[in-house]
Order: sequence, then structure tokens, then C-alpha cells
Amino acid sequence: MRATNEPVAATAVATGSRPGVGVTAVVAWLLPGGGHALQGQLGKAAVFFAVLVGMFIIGLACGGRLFAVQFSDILVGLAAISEWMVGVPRLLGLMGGLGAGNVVAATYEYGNTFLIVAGLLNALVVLDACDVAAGRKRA
Amino acid sequence: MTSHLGMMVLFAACVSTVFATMMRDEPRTAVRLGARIFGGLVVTAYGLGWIMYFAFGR
Repeated sequence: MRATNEPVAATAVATGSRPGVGVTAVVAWLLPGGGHALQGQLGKAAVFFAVLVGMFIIGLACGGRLFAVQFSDILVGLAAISEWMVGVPRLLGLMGGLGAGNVVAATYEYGNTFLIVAGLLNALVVLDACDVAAGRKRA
Repeated sequence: MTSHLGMMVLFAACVSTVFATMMRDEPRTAVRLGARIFGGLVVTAYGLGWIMYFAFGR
């Protein structure tokens, strides 16, 4: 573990010809694990893709709702933004007409939780990939 | 699956896997951290469930 007072530059890892932070961030957002794949971390990329896309599918299978982005109800708006953080799977759900939400299903709230948390976790994964791209974390 | 415990265990497994993979580079240490996060989530949720049962459910 790096000491907190140690300069970041001293431990920064050269990223070579790998894509920069901007490209990594966009790819990581669109495709869970894509940013880590660009940075050469294929194992981590596979885990992120499998788990986050899996959570999204579980959420839909449980009857969760893909919320529309509208802020008349602030919590609905925030949930929608969270779901969009998972990238392409959310877009495919929109195009496929999925995620109508089955309010009377016993697993409806579980489904929403899986859908929202999948997006929030992907937001953290995007930031992690950006750290790798910027050399703040080992590639 | 409609079991509350089953859904909670599944959710904890997913979350702990992502956090452990993100926070550790070595697979061995990642597995250990993931197991600790998973155990913490499940035990805490189970304990809080029983506390709420005795506090509000009887």
C-alpha cells in the first residue's frame, strides 16, 4: 500500500500507447469493463462485464423498471440517471421495450435495486479505469 | 427467485465481487477481500433483520 504522503508521480505507472482518460471513460461507461480492457486488464474487464451485465439482466428478470429521465419526482430522476450509467445494456433495454416494471411482483423492488446498483457500480468502475489510464493506479 | 434471503445473498455476491476486483490486483487477495465484504454484508443484513423483527415485528 502506498504511503499517503508519497508523491503520486513517484508511483505512477507509465501507460505507454494505451488510450487516454477521455476515451477510456467513454468506453468504460458504454460497455462495463471496456475501460479496463483498453488498459490491458482483461481479467478485471471480464469480471466487471459479467457481474454488471448480469445484475442488469437479473433486475429486468425480477420485474424492475427502467425509469425515464424526468425530475418531477427527484428520486425517479436519480434512479434513471443511475440506470443510464450502465451504458449499452440500458440502451438495448430502451430499444427492446424492456423494463416496463411489474409493480405487483414480489421482486419488483429487488429488480429496481439490481438495475440501479448495476449503474452505480459501473460509475465506480469508470472512475477506476480513469485512474488506471491516468497512471494513478497500476495497469 | 422470490426468497428474500436468496435475493440478498445474490446481491451481496455481486457487489462484493465488483468491489474486490476493483480494490485488489492479485486474484488471491481479491478473493479474500471479496469473501470478507460478502460476509460482512450478509451477516450485517441478517443481524439487522433480526433486530427489526424483535423491535417492530412482534
